[in-house]
Amino acid sequence: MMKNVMMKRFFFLVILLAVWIHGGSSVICASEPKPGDVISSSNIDQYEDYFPPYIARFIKDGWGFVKPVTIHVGEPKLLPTGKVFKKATEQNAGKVKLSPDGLLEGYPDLGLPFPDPKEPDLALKIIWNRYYAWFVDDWSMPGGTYHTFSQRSGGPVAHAQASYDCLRFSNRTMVPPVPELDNPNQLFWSTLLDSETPPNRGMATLTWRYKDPVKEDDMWTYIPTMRRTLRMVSSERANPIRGTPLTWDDIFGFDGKIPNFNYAYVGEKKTLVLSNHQRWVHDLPGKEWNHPIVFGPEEPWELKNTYLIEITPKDPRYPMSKRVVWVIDENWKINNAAIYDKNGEFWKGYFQSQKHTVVDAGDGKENYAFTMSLGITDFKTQYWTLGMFDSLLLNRGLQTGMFTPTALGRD
Amino acid sequence: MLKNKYAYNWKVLICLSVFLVIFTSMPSRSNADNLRFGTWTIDGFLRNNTGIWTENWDYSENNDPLATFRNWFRVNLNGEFTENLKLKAEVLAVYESEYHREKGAGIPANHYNQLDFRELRLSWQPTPFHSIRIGKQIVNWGESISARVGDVINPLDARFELGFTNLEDTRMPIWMVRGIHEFISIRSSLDWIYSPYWQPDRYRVNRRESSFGNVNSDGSFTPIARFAAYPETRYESQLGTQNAVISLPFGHPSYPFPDDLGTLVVPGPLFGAPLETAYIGPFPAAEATTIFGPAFAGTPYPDLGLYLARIPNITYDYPDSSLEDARYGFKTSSTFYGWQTGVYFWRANELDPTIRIEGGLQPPGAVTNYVIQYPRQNVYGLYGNKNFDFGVVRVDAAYRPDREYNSLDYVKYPEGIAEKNNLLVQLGLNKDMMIPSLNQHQVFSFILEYVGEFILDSTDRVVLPTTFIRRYKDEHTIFASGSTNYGFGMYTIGLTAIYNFRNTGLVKPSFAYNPDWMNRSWRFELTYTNLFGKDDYVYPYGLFREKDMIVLTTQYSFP
Repeated sequence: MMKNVMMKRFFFLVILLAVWIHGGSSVICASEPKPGDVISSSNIDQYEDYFPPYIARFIKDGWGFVKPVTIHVGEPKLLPTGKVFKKATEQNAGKVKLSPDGLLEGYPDLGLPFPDPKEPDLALKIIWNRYYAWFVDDWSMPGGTYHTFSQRSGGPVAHAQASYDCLRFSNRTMVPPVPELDNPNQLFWSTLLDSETPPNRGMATLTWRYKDPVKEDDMWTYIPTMRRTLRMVSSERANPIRGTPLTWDDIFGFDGKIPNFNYAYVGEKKTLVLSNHQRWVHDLPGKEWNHPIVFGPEEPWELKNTYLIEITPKDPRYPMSKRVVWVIDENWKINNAAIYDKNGEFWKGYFQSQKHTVVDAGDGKENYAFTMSLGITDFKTQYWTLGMFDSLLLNRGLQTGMFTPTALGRD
Repeated sequence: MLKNKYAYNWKVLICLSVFLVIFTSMPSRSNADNLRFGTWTIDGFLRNNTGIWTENWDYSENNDPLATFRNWFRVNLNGEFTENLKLKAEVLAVYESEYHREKGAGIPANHYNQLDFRELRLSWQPTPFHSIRIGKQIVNWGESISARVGDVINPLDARFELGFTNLEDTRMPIWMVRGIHEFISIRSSLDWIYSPYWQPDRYRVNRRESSFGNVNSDGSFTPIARFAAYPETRYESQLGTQNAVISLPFGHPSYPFPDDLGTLVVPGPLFGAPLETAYIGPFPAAEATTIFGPAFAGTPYPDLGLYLARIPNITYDYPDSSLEDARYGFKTSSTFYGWQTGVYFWRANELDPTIRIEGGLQPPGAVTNYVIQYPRQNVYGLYGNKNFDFGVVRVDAAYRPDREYNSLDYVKYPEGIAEKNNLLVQLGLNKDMMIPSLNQHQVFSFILEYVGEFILDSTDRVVLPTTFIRRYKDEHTIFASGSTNYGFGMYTIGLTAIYNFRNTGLVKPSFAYNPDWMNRSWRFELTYTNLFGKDDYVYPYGLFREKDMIVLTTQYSFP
């Protein structure tokens, strides 16, 4: 009997020792990245926890189909929030509620609905904050300054250009009129994507996102080879866009209709992200890029606090089983997303970077960080595409007249 | 003709002067913010269509299988003079080889070749809500993809078609002034067009192949144009059918009837030589008997017998350059309850002609004058589209009151012209969907369209103006297409099918390859076109049912 007790204590101590050793070694290996650190395949094991797993593998071996990445860690720089937006967010404290079906009640169409999100429904509140995160009132990439680079497995990198414009109709904070334009169609925002590269040159897609978050988007595309503006199927948001792996729901990490999904809070995590993107496309050698994510000595990745949210579709026909997104808690933008197929196997990875700038804000200037690049990689087919900007005009006062179906193909 | 030519020239001069006024009224170059000459781009493509016939429809004992060898070079120039003033110029050059099959068909040299502005226009946008375009333009209204329901503005170049062209390739530009005005507060816009007939003759109306071959006195045949809408079997001894009888070479005045048209007379048991009397088109056998004698009472088709004869006097009544013949119209667009919808109105001369027998058929020995005319026509239309959970619904309707048809009822309509109310409707559905079992990574795009055409009065034996195919009170056509791609656009497969309920249609599978070379700027597409119809006289594909073909299209897009 005594012997058994001794044996049990011995095994307990052994297990305790193993746990201590394992835990201790983790502490030793997973050192927090510091500004000036360089992370490459030789030391990624130490920093793996600070990346989404698929980004870590890009560093480790480039997934076997692109060049392994070296990350340079930079000094963190706070992602800003506008004054008007911040004030509106503070005023929303405690006033906005979730309805039983997960929709917002009492949201005044300005600011974050949940300034300090907490359980219950924390994941859903974070997603609503992302949905209504601070944006400029309009942005514009004219003259084909939105560049996309893409590569089929084993092939050369293809390069295309487009012009891209966006106008916020509501939730405006800087360019008069605020907070809303003359808005008879009750739009939240509208975008206009105009291809500048043959053979699709002149193909322009107009998207209307309504203020009502439940209402499906409306989309029209002007097709030069038909001289026609065609209404697009906008209800199938899981469909790939123009032959790429990117779907409408993938844009900005997650752009699905919020009520169509379930949300689970996975946890809070410090993550290295590129939120201080430096180079425009014209700064790149030969104005070319050959990788699905952005890196280099010029690009400081920073440690940011992120929320991990798992998003699962309610519709069983939806072609993915789940999506995990990393939401930066400073400005509620998604920097990474991991997408899993119907069998639960990892399928696609989404990457996004941000760039700091200063914008006109009615009565002064505001610091602002905009999405500078976004891309997606299909790891099953080894196809990737990355969009990056060569210039960006913000808050220039775009007019509603260019965001109508009739205006498509006008020029 | 000469007069028209000069009229055209001085009107072009006026047009250029208008451009000059606009240019000179632009801000000065010193105002760098306004006159920025910012973005100027050039792009375009080189394309070749090489096709072969897979059926032998040859009546000229010439078995050359080459269906087409068409080479395109298109250059687009887009530029900005100021933020509000932009230029678009598109030049199209086309070269086609001589076709052995058409030798002897009387087709003019360089008939298929072209070097012209496909578009040339200035866009002036004084405010974000209003824009004016002046110049040579192409505009497409309506919702239908497969048929020209609201697509009423530009004439078509139908000298080449079927297996390798899309509708856009065949549209011919016209000079016009076009305004687009947005009225955001009422969720609406207005699009208006005013187009004087300031264009060369060949751009005024639909351009069709004019060479339809001859039947020689020994019974042999000379070739016809490859894409002419005239079935060769009509020149067999059979004199016609219940539905179709004759076609005329409607082109533009540059291609008048050949002097030896008399040789066109169909040989056979009834005619041993060209007829002296000028009659064209079918007429009741009783009349034929009266005119030609008892020998003609025994035609195979006594009710609608066909007698081809010398056509001594044909005049063309083309729309002219006068203000009276200007084309104009408008279209509205509004967004309500998820619908984008509107109405349109278009007033212009018809793009396809009718044949008027001036003063009616003349007795033997007298001259009958046939006038090829393009009557004025109003088109009233409405359209709409909406995205539903099951797909995008598109609807389209065009109403033409008192549309002119050719009628074979010469008793009721001595000049062969009957006016009937016409309604054309389209109901379409677009659906994009994933079918993971067939393609895990890319979407399938489906289009389904129903097009119905109705004559809202008694038909009175009306026929199609150009081909004299009989028209019924209603015609129903289904269009369906599906496509998807693999390898993220590297391989695209598609299938298009059209079926008219009178048992005619086409099936067109295609395969395209878009390799990685040179920034994915090359594209190869192989298309097979199968046309079917119970006979040559069913609308719309019976005429072409023996013209199945395979076409390889190679295109390089630049830059």
